Parts: sequence; C-alpha cells; structure tokens
Amino acid sequence: MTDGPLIVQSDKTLLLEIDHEQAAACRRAIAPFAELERAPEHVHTYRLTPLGLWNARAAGHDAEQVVDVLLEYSRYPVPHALLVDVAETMARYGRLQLVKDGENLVLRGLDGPVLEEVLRSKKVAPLVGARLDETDVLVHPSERGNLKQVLLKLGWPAEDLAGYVNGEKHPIELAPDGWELRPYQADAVEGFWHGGSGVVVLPCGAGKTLVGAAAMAKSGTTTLILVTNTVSARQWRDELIARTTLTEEEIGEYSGARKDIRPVTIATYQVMTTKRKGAYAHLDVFDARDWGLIVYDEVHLLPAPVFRMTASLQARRRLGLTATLVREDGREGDVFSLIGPKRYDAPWKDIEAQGYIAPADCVEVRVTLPERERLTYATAEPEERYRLCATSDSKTKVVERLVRRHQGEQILIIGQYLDQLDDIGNRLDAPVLKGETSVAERQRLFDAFRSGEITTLVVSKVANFSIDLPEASVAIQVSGSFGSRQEEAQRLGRLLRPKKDGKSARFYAVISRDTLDQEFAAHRQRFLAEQGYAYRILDAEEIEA
Amino acid sequence: MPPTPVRSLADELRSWDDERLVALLEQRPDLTVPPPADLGGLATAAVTRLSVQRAVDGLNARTLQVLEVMAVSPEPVSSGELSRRWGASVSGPLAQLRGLGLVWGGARSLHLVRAARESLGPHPAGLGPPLAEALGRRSPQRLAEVMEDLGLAPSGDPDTALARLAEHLGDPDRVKALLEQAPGSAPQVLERLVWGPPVGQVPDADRPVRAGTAGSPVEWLLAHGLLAVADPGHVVLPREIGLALRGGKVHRRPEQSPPPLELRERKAKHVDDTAALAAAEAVRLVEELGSRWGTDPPALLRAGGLSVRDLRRTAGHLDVDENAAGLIVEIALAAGLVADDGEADPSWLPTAEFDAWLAGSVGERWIKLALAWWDSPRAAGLIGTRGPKEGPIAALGPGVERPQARIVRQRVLGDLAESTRRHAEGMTSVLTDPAGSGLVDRLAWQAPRRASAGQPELVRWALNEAAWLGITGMAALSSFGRLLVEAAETAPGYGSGAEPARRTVGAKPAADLLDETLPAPVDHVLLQADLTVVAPGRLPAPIERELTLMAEVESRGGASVFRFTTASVRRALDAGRTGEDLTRWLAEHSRTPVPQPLEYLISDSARRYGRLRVGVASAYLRADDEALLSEVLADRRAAGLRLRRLAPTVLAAAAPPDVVLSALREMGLAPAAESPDGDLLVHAVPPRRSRSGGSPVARRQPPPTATHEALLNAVRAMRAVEENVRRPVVAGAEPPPLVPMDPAGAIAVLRDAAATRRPLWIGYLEDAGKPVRQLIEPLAVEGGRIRALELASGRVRGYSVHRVIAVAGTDETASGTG
Repeated sequence: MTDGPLIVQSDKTLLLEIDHEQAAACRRAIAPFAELERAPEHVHTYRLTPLGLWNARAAGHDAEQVVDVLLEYSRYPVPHALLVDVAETMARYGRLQLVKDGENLVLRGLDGPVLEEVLRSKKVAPLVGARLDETDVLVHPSERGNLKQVLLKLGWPAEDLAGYVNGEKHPIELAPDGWELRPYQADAVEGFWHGGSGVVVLPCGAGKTLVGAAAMAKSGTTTLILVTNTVSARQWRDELIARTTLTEEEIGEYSGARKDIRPVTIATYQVMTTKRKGAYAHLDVFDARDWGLIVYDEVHLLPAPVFRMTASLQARRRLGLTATLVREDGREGDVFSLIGPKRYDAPWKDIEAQGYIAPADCVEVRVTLPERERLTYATAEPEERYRLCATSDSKTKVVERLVRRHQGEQILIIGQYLDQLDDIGNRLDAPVLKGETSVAERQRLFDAFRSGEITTLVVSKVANFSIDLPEASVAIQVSGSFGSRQEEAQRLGRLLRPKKDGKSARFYAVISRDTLDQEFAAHRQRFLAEQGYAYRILDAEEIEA
Repeated sequence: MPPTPVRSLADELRSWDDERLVALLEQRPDLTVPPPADLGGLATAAVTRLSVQRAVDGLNARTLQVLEVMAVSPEPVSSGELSRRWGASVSGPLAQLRGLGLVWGGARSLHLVRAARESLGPHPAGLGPPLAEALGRRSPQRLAEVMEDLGLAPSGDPDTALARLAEHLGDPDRVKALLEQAPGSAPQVLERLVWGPPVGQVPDADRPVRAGTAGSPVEWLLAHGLLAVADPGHVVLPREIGLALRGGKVHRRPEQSPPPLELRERKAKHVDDTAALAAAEAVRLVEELGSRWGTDPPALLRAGGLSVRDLRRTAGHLDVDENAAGLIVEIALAAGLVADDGEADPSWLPTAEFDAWLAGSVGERWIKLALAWWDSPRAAGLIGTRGPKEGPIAALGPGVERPQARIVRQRVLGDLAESTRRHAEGMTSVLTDPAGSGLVDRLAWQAPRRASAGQPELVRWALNEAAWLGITGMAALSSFGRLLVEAAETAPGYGSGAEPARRTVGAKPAADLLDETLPAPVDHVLLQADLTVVAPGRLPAPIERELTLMAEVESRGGASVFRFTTASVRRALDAGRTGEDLTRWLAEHSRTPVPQPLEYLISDSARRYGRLRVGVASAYLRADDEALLSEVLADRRAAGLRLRRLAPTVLAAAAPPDVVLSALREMGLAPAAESPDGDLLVHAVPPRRSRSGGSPVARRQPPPTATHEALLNAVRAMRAVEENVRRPVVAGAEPPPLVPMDPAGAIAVLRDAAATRRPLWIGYLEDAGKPVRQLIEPLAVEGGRIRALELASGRVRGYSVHRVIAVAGTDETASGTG
C-alpha cells in the first residue's frame, strides 16, 4: 500500500487530499480523465464518468495509463471492479469510427459485433445508408451529428476522424501590443486545435474571448460566433477589434437589431431561435458563408434548437467556451457529441493562484427578519414565500450599510425582483439596469460604470452573463433565481477580472435567516464552494453602519 | 467362530469391525433413524429402497459408473471382471461401494444390493434389458423363427430356446460377424441406440418379420434378434448387443477424476485486498440494517417475510440494489441478528444478539456472518423470483428455503479450497472463469444424480455471495476466506449447545487475519467549508456511528464522505446531542478547524431545535377562568391526575379523561368532556429489540449430525443384541442354534414355512427390546407382519418381520440371500 494522496472509492469518486506532497502531481495525472466535482479546502472530489473517460480517450490516453495513475497514487487498494469498469468503458470509445472514404462519409466498425449491435438499433437504422462491406456503412453527411449523438447514447461513442472542411480563407492575426496570450490560454487553443473540435472550460474573467480570438487566428478562416445576447455581441466585437487585426468592417452583427453577414459574424442565440410562422427564420446564417470555424460562447446555455442545427454542421470546426460545464438540463452528452469532447479545463483556484483572475472573498450576510416580517412570511402562500423573504425590507437596509462600508469602490447590486431593485436604486440614488432598458442605455450605463462616473449600479439578471465590467470589485446579491448554482458562479464571475491594485473582489450574498432564502442560498453556493470558494458568514448586526 | 462364507449383507456387516460400521453410519446417517436393534436390522435398513437411493444419489461419477458396471454384469462377479468391463481398476470405487453397504461378498463373488440395481432405472448406463429378458417377450413361435434365421437348432422349451439364443448372441464376435452381413443402414440404426437410451420408436414393432422377407434394416435386425420388441411402438437394443457394440466396455471412458478446474495465477495480496474491502463493507451494511430496523422496523408479512416494498426501502436506505438487500437481510437473519419480535402485530427487529455483535472487531463480526451464511439452508437468490405459489418469493419468508443451496455452497467453496492453493511467491490460483463454469462441472461430477437444472444457478449464487462477503476476491479464495472454509469444514455446523461457539473459536484465525489485512483505521476526519466531512480511511466503529448520526453519507469505500444538512444535524439533536456536543466532538475528531459555515449550521439548527415541543398527555383541562385552574392544580385530591400547567388556561393530565372527569366531579366541580379531536397522543419509543431468540425460519436446521462416539455406541449396542440372540434366553424344547438373518432373508424362509405349514424357531425382539426365542408355525406373512401359531402357548399372535432377528428350521437350516 502506498501512502498516496488519492483515495479511490467504489462509487467511482476520487478523493484527493490536497495538503499531500504529491497532490499537485496527482492532480495533473488524473485531470485528463476525471471530472473535478468539488474543490473545497482540504479534499477535492473527482469523478470517473463515461464521458470523462471518453474525453480522455479522445485526447489520446488509454485505459492502461488511467489504471496506472490510479494504482500509483492510491492510498488504499483500488476496487478491482472499478478498474475493470474503467478498462471496459474506455474500450468502448473508438470501436466505431466516422471516416472519409474518398468522397463518402463512412461509419467503420473496428469490431464486427459492435457494428452489428448498433446497426440493429432502431435509432441508428434511419441515419445510415447502404452497407458497403463487412466493416463499412455509408452515412449521409447531414446525419453525422445525429449519428454521433445516438451512438453516444447507445454507449458506443464514435471517433470522428472524417475531418473538417477548410472553409473560406480569411486572414486573422492576433495583435499583441503590450499583452500576450497567457500560457493557459495558449494551452487551451493548442488543445482545441489538436482535437479539431471541442470545449474549453475556463473561469469567468479568465479571458475566454481571447481563446476564441486565438482560435480564429489559428484557423485563418471566416468565423461564426454565437453569443448569449446583444451586449455580449458588442463586447466580442470590441475585444476582437482591440486584440486582432480585424477591423470594424470585417465584423458583422446578426441580432434582433441588425442582420449583417461579414467574414466574422457574431449572432445571438436569441435571434437564432426566433421562430417565424413556426419555422426558425435565421437558419440561413449557418449557410450564409463557408464558415471555417464556429464559436459557441457560454456553451452551457446553448439552447436546444441550436443543438439541432449544430448536428448538421459536423464538418465545420466547432469551439465551445464556458466557465461551468454544468448544464441544469443534463445535456452534457449532447455537448460532447455535437460540439466535441472537453479539450481544456482548469480549476478556478489554479488560475487565481497564477494571478490571472482576482481572488474573491465571499460573504453570506444573514439578516434576522423582524417579528412582523416573519409573521407575514409564515402565513404567506407557498409560491409567494421566496419572493417575500428574498425582498425583505431588512435586506435593503443591510445593502445600504454595505454600500456605505465600501464607499469609493465600484459596486454592483444584483437581484431578481424588479420592485426590490427599483426600491434599492431609489434609496441609493443609483441607476437601475433591467430587461426593459434599451441596448443603447445599457451601453451608456456600462461605459459610465467602467469610467468611474457611476460607482454603484443596480442590475437585474440581464447582467448575469458575458458583461465585462473589469472595474467592479464589490457585488451585493440581494435575490436570485431560486437555487441556481450556475447563476451564483456567473455573478461572482463579474468580479473576477484582475484588479489594477491586485485587490480581492468582495461578493456579498444577503440572506434572510431561517427562511427559504437561506435554503436556496446553500444550494446556490455549492458550485463555488466546490470550486474552493469558502463563504464566510456574517450576522447583519455586525456590519457597522 | 470358523469363517463362514458370506451369504448376505447382514453376514458381511457382522464381519466388520466397529470402525467400519461407524464409517457406514457416518456416510449413511439415515440408517440410524430409527436406530436399528441389531446388525440384522441395520442390514435391512441398509437395503430399503429409499435409503439405497439416497446413498446412490451421493455417489460421484466414478463410483456411480462402477455401480452401473456392476448392475449390468451377471452376478456374482469378480472385481477383475468389473475392471475389464469398466476399463480401469475398480478397486477404489469398489471399496467405497462396499463401505456404503451397496456391494457385498468376496472379491470373486461380488453382489449388488437389489435396491441399488433398481435405483438405476430400467436402463442402467443406457443399456437395454438382457437378451433373455428382451427376447422372452416373443411368443415361442417367433422365438423359433429367430432361431431358425440365426441357424440355431430349434427347441420346444422356451427357456432352453432363450438360453440358447442368449448364449449365441452374447458372443461379441458373432454379433460383429452378423452385422457385417446386415443390409444398408442397419449399423446406423444400432449406432443411434448404442449409447442409450436403448429404445427406439418404431410403428408396429411387433409385426412378424423373417430374415428372408425383411423389408427394412429394423426388420432385419429384429429378425436376427439384434433388436427386441419393447412394446408395440418401440424396439429395444438388448444389453449384450449393446455391450458388444460398445466394445465390451460399459462406458465410453472411465470417469476416474473430476474435470480439471481452469486456473490462473494472481497476486494473493490483490485478492486479499479486494476481499477485505468486500468483507468490511458487508459487515458495515449489516450493522446499518440493524440500526435502521431498530428505529424503523418493517412489518412481518402474514405469510412470513418482508414485503417487496420494505425490501425496496431497505435497499434504498442502504444504497444497494435489491438483490444485495435481500442477501443482507437473509444473512442478518441467519446470524440471528434480526428476528420476528413475536408481537401480535409482528415486525422485524434486531435482536439482543445484534448488540453483542456490534462490540466485536470487523473480523469477529465478519466470521459470525460468514459462518451463518455457510450453514444457512436458504438461498437469497430466490428472493423476488416466482415461487411455486402465486406471487414473488418474499425475503425472510419460508419460500427462500432451499437446502440444496447449502450443499452446493459448501461443496463449491470446499472444492475451491481444495483445488486452489496459495503459493509461496505471494501468488494464488484464481478461477479463469469468474462465473465458475468449471465448478459447476466438477459439482456435477461429485454427485451426477443430484445435479439438477438449477444447479448452475446455485453455484453462481454461491460464488456471488462468497465474493460479496469477501470470502473470495477476484474469483479466488482470500487467505482469510480459506481459513474460514477450513474452520467451517472441520467443525460441522449444526447441532446444539457448544457447537457454534466452538466453530467461532476455530474461525478466530480467519477473523484475525481479516483484521490484519484491512487498512489501519484512521481516528480523524477532515471538515470542509462546503459542509462535507472526509474520513480519509476506515473509521473505528464508534466514530463512524456518531458521524453517521450527525451527517449524511455521500460516498463509501476506502474513505468515507459525509455531508452535514439541516436534517442530519436535527437527527443528532433528536438523539440527545446538543449543538455544543456536536461542535466539541467535531473539534476533537477533526484534524482541521471547524469551518464557520458548519458552526453556523449546527448553532442555527440547535437554536431552532425544540422551539416546538411535543409531549405525552392523556387528557387536558381548559378553562377561561385561570383562577379555577389554579384551584384544581392546588387541590390535593387532584395529585393522582398528575396535572401540569401548559399555559394559563390549559392543564395537561397524565390520567385518562374518564379518571380526570370523575376526580374533578368528586372535587365538587362540573367538568364537561370534549370530543377527542384535540387530544394528541404521541409516543416517543426508544429503539426496540426483539425478545425472541431468533426466527424459527432461520433456526430450522437439519437433524443434528451424530458424533463419532455416539455412532460407536450405537454399533456396540447392536452387536450386543446380536450376541444375546446367539445365546438362548428362553429354554425351549431343544432349540437348535439360531442363524442370525436379516429380515429380507427371514421373510423368504417364513413365507416358505407358511406355505408348507412347517414350524420353525425364530429369534424375536419383544417390545422392550428383549430377545426371545419361540417355536412358531407361520400362518400368513404379509405387510411386514407375520401371523403365527406360537406352539408353546398354543396362541396365534402377530409378529413384526423387522423384529425377527434369526430363524432356524426344525429339520433343516434355512438359507437366505440379501
């Protein structure tokens, strides 16, 4: 028995004791095949999943390596059944291949019985064409994605070796003046390019846009970028103009407001999923040009219709970007088969340790509701209860105190309920940015906030994603959409751009004690707690006014 | 006494020494129930159909083959002839058959007990009846035709004709020569019947056929006596012809040894580590089952057992699948750790034994489970399958009983222990096929007649369960599993009193070895801000129990991960811990400081805990007049009601409402009863324990195996009776020396005497077991009773045949056979 840092559990979780001297080496060794599930302060939990193991296979690791790593670092005997299972799972990947045979796309079975098994499946039958010989079956190019999805569900993920169309050439270069690609960004691009297609996971604020830009430069082709909303689209455009040789004329926006197709086109998920007369009206964007690369920003939010469209784009290179590859809808498998395997992943705390994202101090402020409010809460209808406790007056007072405490810093106040936000805006005399605010007004407010003209900005959930506010150093969350872990992480992400003075960011979550609010908060915090962010608890009374 | 030729099995047994007799009784324990009076009685019991069948069923393939060879050989036969017919030396199997009392006689004149021959059915070794019997069914005219077709001299006497035919066709060379002249596909027809079954379907098999007019190969064969008519629809291959076609051997090849087991080598340490993990997990799961059922006992089904729903719930709670849950509850039952509580509304509860069990080390607890499993006549694998009655078989119910499962389990593991070994270089043999197909074949070889269609499944269950218990790991016996099997085999399980305790002592080395193999326990945990606790190794049981009380288990294995939740903390508070207790305990056992969120969780839960109180009251008193209630409370006459003020206007009483009402009335008050709707009765009941000593289901064991000493005493008693008989007890008119005789022999002599009304002397055991000698004239012998005239008293009385231990004729010495 070694005295290793890793404990392999029979339920396929791996516990890594991080204070152990071999912890760093072990983490590097298991990262390619195990998914980090939780990273609190002492023991990190990884999990072996079929997707993770297939990701590793796609990246060129074999079962023997995985087993060796487990045996090398494990403190206790590794359950035999688990090793067998790892080997069997990994052996399933690549028994089937999608390859180009001349002009044809072909499903090739390296293992006869497996090919027979999948061909007998009712789901596979409509996706394949004629049987060419013992090992090959014709596949229509438009079914490439659907077939991969189905095969993954059957547990026989196909290795896609059919390659990509080159796309229309369009020279793009990075323009490093006084900055350069960070090592992890370069690694991420390298990992992606080597794999052909796939997903890069980096924390909020770690510069995912630049990874996209570098991938475009590497590709040197026309590019379609899909983003969550218009503000985000504009940020992408500005960043590309600033960091690459691309000019304003080369970049088009395809949104509700404008429909420009240029060599680099940025489209929003919203416009892509807009239906007119029951049909998606803007699908032609995908075919508008011979795109050499498609970038999916915030791939964890990718809406179902875009998945379906993506299924028929398997011949184009695809890059997915995200901070949290946790999909609340559990469609990680679709991301794997349609966008591609995970090509790069770095724990938040690692990037923080390297100084590329600001350290953050998370504080849960607990407000004790006065008798009167408690009574109202206790007797409220169940569907009203969360709103009642989340929008308590007592919270507003605490927010005022917190804002006073952080006078002189750039403060974001984030909430779910518009009445509450308006109320807070009134009391603090701060502008409120919400869904109904026009794009131009939003742009103006963000610019004013960035320049320091406004120090306090109240925002609704429209600012959850992709809003780049590097100067914000304090965020106060007053309410949220119930227990969403991902929202909490994204909101913290707004603060993680490194600060000029190297200061920590401060994230406050104001919670009503002994109510539903507290229960949801506990759930919301799990992703961040698992990423190693420890919440401190503060009693509201302790905050000096 | 001069050596007399052995004339019967009884004779043979009389010549045996005590140890041989004891060995016989050990191998055929049914012979001692009821205990035979003497050796003659023993011989009678030994030749009864049921007992012989049992003995034959227990034979392995090798011995069974020799028995078959004997069954198809003419009697008496020599061992040399048997070896020739079998194709290998029969000395070993023959000694075994003699030891079992199935074969008797000298080496050159061996006899097979008739019941043994019958137990093999009409076609022993797949051979048909002898020629004489097979052809004897033909009419004399047909016989004559066959003889004519074979070129034999005719005979008017059917017996002579048959003998002649049998002799002619009994010569293999002649059969061969005949077959060379056979037309077309006749040899192929015989080929199909030669290795059995020897019967073939032929329409109108009894039609007249002659060699000259034979229209088909079958007709030709019938005409030449190479096939016989079994019945109008079937033909049969006579035994001698079959043997000739088999080349003189009864079997294709002698099954001298069991099929070899396919094995390969593995590191013994890996095997032990894997098995130790499983063993510790098994112990933990049974413990968790017990603590769960202690607070939340499932009900007993009316038909016995556990409902499917309760099994599913238990599985969910233990986080295992239903098959594993079924095994867990069955092992707990077998070990006497859970039992039916015997109440009117019965439920399953942990027993007092369970509490004692908890105190042991993992190893000690493990051997208790493993030995209980070893002896259990129940097959957990049956749970949930369709039983003979409607509905699936319930766990813990009577339908799970399958004594065959125990036999298979013990044989399979015994075989594994015998045929694999641990090598010096730290390697051990493991099964190449983890599913154990090799063991199935070997088991079938060990007792071919017991091999049922369900046997492979029983083997699979046995192996799965052994792996689950950690007796095996990676398809090999673990070191401690081997010690356990050895201990279990050397001290047979059933029996009462000190036996189980002795085995536990015998298995102690296994327990110690398991404890040594398990990783050393860790005595600390790591607390984290995300409200999880990691125990980076195996925890000592007290720490584990406390932690399981206050936090939910998230992951198990070499280490454990727990998560604190509001509910889990509340559970600890319910169990009587305070918030400070929890925080202090955590600080003591954690290597890292207690994180702030955890402190908050505990203190918040503790703060809210008990803000609502629930208590027991039998009645309440309420009045708007506070003074009135104060008055009642102060009155000494109300003391017996045990009143308590809950609020200014409410009193609670421990006495029931009717008592309260009458007491208040006696005090001169005018109380009114309220409807019972508001009356809250809450019982806080501590974990319950079954008072019964264990379920009769689990305790039902086969009859205790008699010890060697007990058997020896029984043998000596039989011999004493025997010798008493030889010494005349009752003085008769010149009684001749009596010849001890087994009842089968005696009955023939008595029948003969009854037929000729000839008086004879018998040795008879009276009711008290006292042997007497009487001169009788048998009148009738039937149904095991003899009606006879006792000549001394002149009375007719009845005798039981089985108590007749000796017979002597008045003029000639009767003789009998076994």
